[in-house]
Amino acid sequence: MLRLLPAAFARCPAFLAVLAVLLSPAPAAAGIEEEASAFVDERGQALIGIMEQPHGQDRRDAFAAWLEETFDLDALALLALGSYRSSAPPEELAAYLPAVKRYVVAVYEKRFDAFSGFGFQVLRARGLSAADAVVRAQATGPQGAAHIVDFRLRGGEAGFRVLDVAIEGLSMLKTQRDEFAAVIRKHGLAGLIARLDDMARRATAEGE
Amino acid sequence: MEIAPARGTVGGLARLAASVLLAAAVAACASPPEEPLERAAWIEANDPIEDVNRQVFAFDMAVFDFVVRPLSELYGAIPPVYRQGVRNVFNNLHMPATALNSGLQGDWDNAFDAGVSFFINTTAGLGGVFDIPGGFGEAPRREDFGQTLAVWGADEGPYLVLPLAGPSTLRDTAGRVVDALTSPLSYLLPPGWSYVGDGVEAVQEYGDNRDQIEALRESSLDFYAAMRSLYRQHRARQIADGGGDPLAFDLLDSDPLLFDTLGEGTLGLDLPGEGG
Repeated sequence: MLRLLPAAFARCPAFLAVLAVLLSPAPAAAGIEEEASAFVDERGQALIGIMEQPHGQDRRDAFAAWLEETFDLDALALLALGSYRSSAPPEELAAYLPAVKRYVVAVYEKRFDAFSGFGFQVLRARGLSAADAVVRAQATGPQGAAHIVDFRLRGGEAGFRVLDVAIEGLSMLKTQRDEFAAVIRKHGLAGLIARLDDMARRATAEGE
Repeated sequence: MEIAPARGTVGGLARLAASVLLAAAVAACASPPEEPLERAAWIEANDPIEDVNRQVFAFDMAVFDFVVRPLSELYGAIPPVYRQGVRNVFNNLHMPATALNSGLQGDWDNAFDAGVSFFINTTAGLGGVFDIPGGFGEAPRREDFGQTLAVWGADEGPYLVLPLAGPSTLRDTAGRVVDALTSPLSYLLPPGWSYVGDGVEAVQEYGDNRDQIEALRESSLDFYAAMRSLYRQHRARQIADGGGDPLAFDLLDSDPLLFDTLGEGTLGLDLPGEGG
């Protein structure tokens, strides 16, 4: 951005001092960066430990417990409904939330083998408010290829929970929201639930 | 994964331009649904000719399964050091377009880096097989004319799936036509043969990302919708030059579910079965 500023402004000490104040993080967010970074680092290392386990029920159970302690899955599931959330019948919504959890556990656990050998390192964090932060980490594959992973977190009574993960700028929440919307448009929320359950069943059955 | 654009012949460009004009005409005729929720989802998807796009996508995937995938198995048998050489060659071939478009976007640093990188790698790097460090902090960021159009303020236009070329938008498809004219392959190979270069690059890209692509394909509820979402996010990220937060994080702040409770330290969700 500084490159776009007129050179005269960029050379002016007073202007730079004002700019520095404007660009400094808000006091309310101070300290949250360290806590958020520590949370993501600990959760990331724990996931790598789970990924090392062989595919099967034990790994699924460990991953399900990890998910509960790491993500706010109810919030994620509701956010993934997008504009359809407001019109969802309560009984279908009640069936939808656990279906999303079953799907995420079964399908993502099965994908772990494609990511074996990955390393994980937190790079930096940025507070957005007293409770919200973005943490940037780097996942390094076995061949040395590095991928930037961003975590959007919110703090609460139970500690931090992840609301979204973006790999190289590609958001898991946005992608699922778009996928879910496509299925709902064609088959309704009941159709989405059936599809989620079907995918979860197939992922669980394969490799058993 | 993106199958590279058709380029290199006047006939190919004319066909591409004709298909884009046809798609744009059809898109202009498509009308959004009346029902508000359907309409919101329709607008967010930005895919007014979805039925046509899905058919082209099915065709592309069939070609992919019967041609690209088997060839990538052969590609996977090549020792890693040679595969790196193939990657380097294709990366180098994109440098002239990167230099031109960086300049058109006013990013003179990246334009200079791309120009120097192309000169050094084409000469000392034996046609780009070897990537010679040019003293840059990082390798030049790849730019194309679709990104330039976006920086100039052109609208994304409707989402399109091109035969053999895969996901695109009206803006990116227009950009491909200009990019074809700046590709060295268009001038080095006989007419029509640049398609071979596109095919080899597709095999190389798939071969390098096979596990992740197949995992996504297996786990997707709707692979077409997933690819559409990922393509649009990827392009948005490229246009922003990889800076800032992922754009989807803005979605969280603008969603009433979180916006209403932002900063309270709790999500405060009304979940079914919790008494509202």
